[in-house]
Parts: sequence; structure tokens; C-alpha cells
Amino acid sequence: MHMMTKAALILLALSTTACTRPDRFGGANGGVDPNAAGANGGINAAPLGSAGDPNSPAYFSQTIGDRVLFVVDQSTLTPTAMATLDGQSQWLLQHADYLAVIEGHADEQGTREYNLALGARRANAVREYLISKGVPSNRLRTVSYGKERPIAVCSDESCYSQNRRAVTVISAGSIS
Amino acid sequence: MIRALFLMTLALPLPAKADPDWTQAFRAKVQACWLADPALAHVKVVAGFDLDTTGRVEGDVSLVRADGGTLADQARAFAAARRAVVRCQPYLAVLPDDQYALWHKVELTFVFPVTPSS
Amino acid sequence: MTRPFSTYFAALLAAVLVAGAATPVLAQSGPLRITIDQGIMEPLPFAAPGFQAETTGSEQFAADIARVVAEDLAGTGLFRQIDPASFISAPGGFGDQVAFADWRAINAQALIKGAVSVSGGQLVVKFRLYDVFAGGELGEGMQLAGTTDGWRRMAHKVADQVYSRITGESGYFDSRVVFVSESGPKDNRQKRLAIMDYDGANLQYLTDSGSIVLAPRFSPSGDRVLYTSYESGFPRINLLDVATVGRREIQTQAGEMTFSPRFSHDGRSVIYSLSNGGNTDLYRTDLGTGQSSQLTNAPSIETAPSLSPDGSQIVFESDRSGTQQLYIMSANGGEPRRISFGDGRYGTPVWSPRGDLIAFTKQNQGRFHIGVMRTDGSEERLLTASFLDEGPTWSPNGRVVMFARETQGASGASTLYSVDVSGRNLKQVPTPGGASDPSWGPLQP
Repeated sequence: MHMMTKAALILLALSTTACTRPDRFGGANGGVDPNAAGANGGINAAPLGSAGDPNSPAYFSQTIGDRVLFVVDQSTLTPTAMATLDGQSQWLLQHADYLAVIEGHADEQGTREYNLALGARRANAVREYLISKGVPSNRLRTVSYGKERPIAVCSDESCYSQNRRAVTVISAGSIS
Repeated sequence: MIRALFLMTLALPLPAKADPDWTQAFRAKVQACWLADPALAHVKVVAGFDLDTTGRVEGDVSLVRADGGTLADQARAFAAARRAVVRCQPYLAVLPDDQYALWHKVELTFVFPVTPSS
Repeated sequence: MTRPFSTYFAALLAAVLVAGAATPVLAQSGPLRITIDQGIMEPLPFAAPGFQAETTGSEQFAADIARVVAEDLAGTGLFRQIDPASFISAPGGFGDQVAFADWRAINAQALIKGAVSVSGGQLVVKFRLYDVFAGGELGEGMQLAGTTDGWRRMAHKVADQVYSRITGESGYFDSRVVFVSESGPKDNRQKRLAIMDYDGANLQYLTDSGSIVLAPRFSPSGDRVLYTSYESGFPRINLLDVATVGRREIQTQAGEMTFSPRFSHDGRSVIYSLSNGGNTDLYRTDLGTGQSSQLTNAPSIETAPSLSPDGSQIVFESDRSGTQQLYIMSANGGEPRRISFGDGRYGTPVWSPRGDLIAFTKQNQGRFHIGVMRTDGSEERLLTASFLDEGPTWSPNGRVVMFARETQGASGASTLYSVDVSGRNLKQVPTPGGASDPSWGPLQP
């Protein structure tokens, strides 16, 4: 998360170009978005596909940050989360051939079915925020995993805080 | 203050009759034979019966009253109470044989204990 | 259905009335009244001196059946088997006269005698139950016949008979549990549906671990199972036929996610949660016609429904008040009324088959509890406490609650436990690996 602020600033600088591009998706074939590539020319000199390549999914997940965290039993976005999502929305607007599935998760301190519903709430909070920033709704799906897929396994807050998350998983391809 | 309390205590009527020791012994004897089924928490049954002069149950044990639980719970609770009464007789050893009139008829209230959460 | 114990009980009461009327009143004052509240917290002792093998080749069946009957009864915590070493008299043949004095002397309250014979693949089990202190048979002798591979079920049926004759309520031994079998580490847990006898025997897997499966629920007759599966990539309700293990996704009202399915009391409809746009409500869909109706309409989470045994009401959890709490409404929807008002959060309510209690999961001050309350929310009692207990399910007779307990930490794992509704007799239910989300089926026919 510590990288996020910097990443968001870089993207803000790039956003003017991105926003002029019409929001297209559908029919994309997984190729690199030329507009986005042009906009980033000269800023990065990293191997294609690595986290240093701003057009890569790795850049999205690692440099921008693919996840936002929530406080206990809440689905409200924190200011930090909104900053990350600003970065995500910029990237998604620049890379219209990518789709996203937003996964909602909960920590283990809750009953299974309630946590499924809570995960759905979190995923939806992220989806609605991205839509409010201009990402077309039909590029965004949600799925809740409740407490079924923890990434940190200890039973205290240091792990719980990582597990209460919504993760934006991007994939190239058309919308089914 | 203490004196005032003391005077108030004096003013209260004395209990009509203190529990004689033998009722405690009688209670202890029945209690020792009672298998208080843990599943019957909250159930209370009153078992009534007569004792003959040797301290044996005369006739059978009757259910005077039951509270709490389902009808099946009450039936089980009474069966356990009855078994306890029958199993532990005769009671003459703990009863004063010169006061038969006091223990000829008996009503025992069995309060099934509420178990604490584990 | 006749109730031998109740009949016996009624006869006893009748005898008492006659005896009471004939007794002259000698006492001058009222009866001696004493309250007794410190009984021995001890299970009812019974003697089961082995089942007689009546044919050659039936010895092993006789031993196994006697063992399972005794394990069933002792496993309830309400009964205790008397050590055969303390028996005074030999049990004698199945039809022989019972020397009650000898059994009374060792404080046996109940005596179970049985006999087993095998012919071809056919197994015949006979038993008689005696009330030792009453000096007579409790109910009539009974004979069960079946194939040899069903010997465990026959043993469970004998134990169910003994249990119901002594306690006056039906048993729960000849029943099965469907649950989620778990393996692998906490951050890569594999889940599959499994079914087993109530005591952990005869385990069978119903799905593979290719996708997440959650919260199975038996149909009222135990022939089908509803559960949530990620097989399509998204949570969807699936229906599985227990006999054929065939399964299909069921057509519900359209939504991003459908989960938390339960059968209606007649097995014809499914009541479930549906999420759209982050909001979760309860719906009902007829499994035959596919017709759907919405049962709740609130901007909050409504899930974990459970029908009353008569099908008229639904208890469910909702966080409309700000935290998870329990509510009851009509089975057709309508205005719910809240029933949980204690400290903490309440979830996963399950209506008892007797109709009188609701079991639930409670979270309070960092601990989880399984508890029960009356259907109006009164008389809340917590039966367990641990780092994570959740998801109670009732035994078919409403006497025992089974649930999942997860241990703490990186190596934490979930296993099944059962506890008597009084809070006693907490014990682990044996499963080969991890286990969660149990659903206890009905008594088998």
C-alpha cells in the first residue's frame, strides 16, 4: 500500500490523455492499447509485462495496487482505498480492452453466509466507485468469497486487516 | 446503627420451627440415589408418597406437580424422581420413629439443576 | 405411533390414584415437604450383556451390533453402560426369565437383551428392554430384518427404540449428516461435500474438490441436498440427489450471487439469499415451476433462513439494525420482528424440529458461542464457547446440536462437534479430515 500514493500521482499526471479517449470495450482482442502506450512513452523503461511496464496487468496489481482494505464489518471505502481506486479507474479507462472481476473478501471473524453477503457489499462498493469514475459498468463484475480465501492465515488483526479486502482482478478479453 | 438492626431483628417473629436435623439426613439420603439427568435442566417435579412405619414407600409414588420442559421431559423427570425414592428406601434409619405423623406423608420437590455453559 | 414408555407411565399414574384413595389419612398436619436440588449428575446406568449369536457365522454381527447399540446410548451422555465384569448373574438366553434382583443389586436401571441370526445374506436382530426397578419389560420385544451390510443401521434402530422407550421422545441414531469435508492449509483450503452416519461411520464423498462448496442442507426426507457451489465461477445454488449423486444448478431469480439455500418444509421450494448490487435479500423459488417471489426487501443483509417445522414462519438473520440479529417473519414474507436482544451479534438461526427452540451462533467480545433461545427470544442459553463455533444443526429429535469448531492460528482447522441442548456432553464427531457446515438429516425410514 505504501507505493500507492506515488502511483496515484503518476496516473493523475497521465489522466488528461486517457480521459479524452472514448470508453470502448467489447471486441477488444487483448492487444495493447495504443493510446495508453503513447501516453506512457518515455516515462518507463521496463521490460514489457513487468510491474514497471504501465500497460501490464502486473503494473495494475503491484504498482497501482489491485486491492483495497476495509475496517471490521464495514464496506465503506476509506480515503486510502479511494486513492487506490482512482488509480485503478484511470488504468481501466486507459486500457479499455481489459475487464475486471472485483472479489470481495472478509476475515474469519464472522459466520460463513453473512461473510459472503459482506464480501458482496465490499465488492459492490468498489464497483460503484469505479463506475462513478467513468469505468463502464459492463466491464466490471463482482464475486464474493466471504471468508473462504484468506491471504494471511494468522488469527489476529495483523492478518484480519489484510483479509478484509476487495481485489480487482483484470483480464484481457471481451465481455461474456 | 448496629443496635437499631439488632432491635429490628428481635422484633421479627422467630421461624415457626427450624428444620430438624433428620429432614437434612432424609434429603441427603434421597439425593444420593437421584440421577439428575443433565438434559432436564429447568424441570421441576413434586413427587408425593406415603411411608409406612418402617420407612418404606407404601403404595406408589405420585406426581403432584410438574413445571418446565416438555411433557416428555416432565415424564422423564418424574420417572427419575420415583426411581430415587424407591431405590433408597427404607428410610427409618434417618427418620425419628417416635414422630411418624410428621413423615407419614411426604412431598419431595426435585429441582433439576441448570448446568452452566461450558 | 405408540409410546410404550408413556403407556407405562400412564398406567403407573392410574395405579397411584387407586392406592392413594385407599390410604387413610393418619397425619395431623400436611405432608413433610422437602426440596431436593443436588442430585448425582450421573447418566442412567444400563446393562447390555451382549447379543446372543443364534446361528453360526453371526457371532461377529452379534458383537458388533451390541457394541454399536451401547455406543449410541452411552454417547448421548444420558446413559452409562455398566461394566459386564460386575454382573452377578449370567444374562441367560434371549427368552429366559430375568433375575431382576441381580440387576437391581448392581444398580442397573435398564437391561437390554438381544439375539442375532444370519441366513444367507439376511440378518435378523431381536431385542427386549427391561425396566429393572419396575421388574418388567419396557415395551414389547422387537425383531428387525435386513441384509448383512445394513447391520449398523439395524443396531442404530435398536438403540433408537431403547432410547425412545426410556425417554419418551424419539431417538436420532439412525440418521445421517451431510457436511463440507476440508483439507489443505488455511490459505488454500479444498472443500467437497460428504455424507456420513451421525456417528461418523460410512463416509462418502459427494463432490470433488474442484470448486468451493458451502453450507449443504438436507431435504426434509433426506433424499436431496441443496448447497452453494462456485462451479460456475460464481456462487450458485445447486441441488444434489443423494442416491445417484447427480447434481445441477437450480434456476432461481436472476442475481449476481445466490447462496444460503434451505428447503421448504414440504421439500418443494427453496428459500435462499440473492445478492444484487451489494444488497442481499431473501427469496423463494418453487423447484417444480421455477416461480419465484421476494420475501424481504431491505437495504441490508438478509440471509441464513430457517423454516419453522410447520412451515408457517421463517427465522433469519439481518443487519438492518446495524449488527447481525435474528428476526422472525411469516413464510410468505411480511414485516419481521426481532427476537435477539442480548449483547453481541447473532447469526445462523435454526429452528428446532420440536418447534420450541431456535439454535444460533453468537459472537460477543471476540468469542463465538452456540446457543439456544425460545422462539420469542426468551431464555437464551449459551451451550458452548470457543475461538470460533458456528453453524448449528439439530438432531432429528431436537435433543442434540451439531456445529463446526475452528481452531485458532495459521494451522487452524475446522472439525465437527455435538452438544446436548442442556450444554452437556460436548464431544467431537469423528471425520477423516477437517469438516464444517454440518446438516443433520431426518431419522431414516
